[in-house]
Amino acid sequence: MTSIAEQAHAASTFIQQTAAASEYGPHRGLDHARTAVRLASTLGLSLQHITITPDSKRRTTPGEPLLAIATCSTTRTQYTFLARYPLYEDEPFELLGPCPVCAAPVPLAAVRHLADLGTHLATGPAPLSNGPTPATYPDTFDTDEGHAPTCRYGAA
Amino acid sequence: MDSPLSNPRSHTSPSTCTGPGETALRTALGNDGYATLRRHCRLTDTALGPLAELLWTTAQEADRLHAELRYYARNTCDHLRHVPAHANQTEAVPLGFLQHTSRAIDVNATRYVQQMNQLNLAIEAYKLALLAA
Repeated sequence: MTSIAEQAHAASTFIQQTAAASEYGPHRGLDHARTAVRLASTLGLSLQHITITPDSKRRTTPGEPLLAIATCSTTRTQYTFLARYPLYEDEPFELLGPCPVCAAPVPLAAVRHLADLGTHLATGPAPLSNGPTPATYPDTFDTDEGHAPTCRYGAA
Repeated sequence: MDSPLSNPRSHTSPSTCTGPGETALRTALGNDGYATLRRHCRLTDTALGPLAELLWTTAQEADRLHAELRYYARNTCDHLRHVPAHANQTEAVPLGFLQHTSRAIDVNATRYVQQMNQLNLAIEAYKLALLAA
């Protein structure tokens, strides 16, 4: 078990080295590294279990959304999180999962900490009716660009 | 989907060095005046409190807009570096993205100038209120 100081130093070194060596350039690399550290801290995971890639599907907003894939070291299950505005580090991650209507990967839960993920895994996405979207879905669900073109949800 | 540009925030989260809004406050008020402003923000029994709060949030918004401008500039710089290396891959050349970002930067820069002008007006109003207090 490493000390808090050692873990903090490792995170800082990871950010510097990842930014410097990133194939996407030093500035985008810095965003990728900071997002990886933030998700690893949120889920209590090691950095080696986090993979970051740009999200080209949601490039309709200024800046560059990032997809962060966390792999469970025990079950190898993968969870995909969206960092929609990496600049704003107080924004929650959005857990992506199959839309109940179109099955495309869309935001199903806002995750600020591990308990948010736990709540979502325990209850699953609420059923959708023709009425308002249940409050358990993140605000971004209705208009997310990830919905299939034929889905009743998605960007207008 | 609303962009961050159309969603003014009540706080600034980007971790950056001191922004131009805070610098303008410190320059206009001095370090002691800056500390006094923070105390005035907590006043609720005089008009000075809301005015100080307005000045503070105006400076914060200027810093947020400045941080976004820097972010877009850095991001676009890396994208432009990325294009020649991947010019044979259509998927990797986000020309639409770059055009969109260019427009977003124009809007953001205009908003930033407006905000700095507004900040200067708020500073003058606060200084007058201090004299009258």
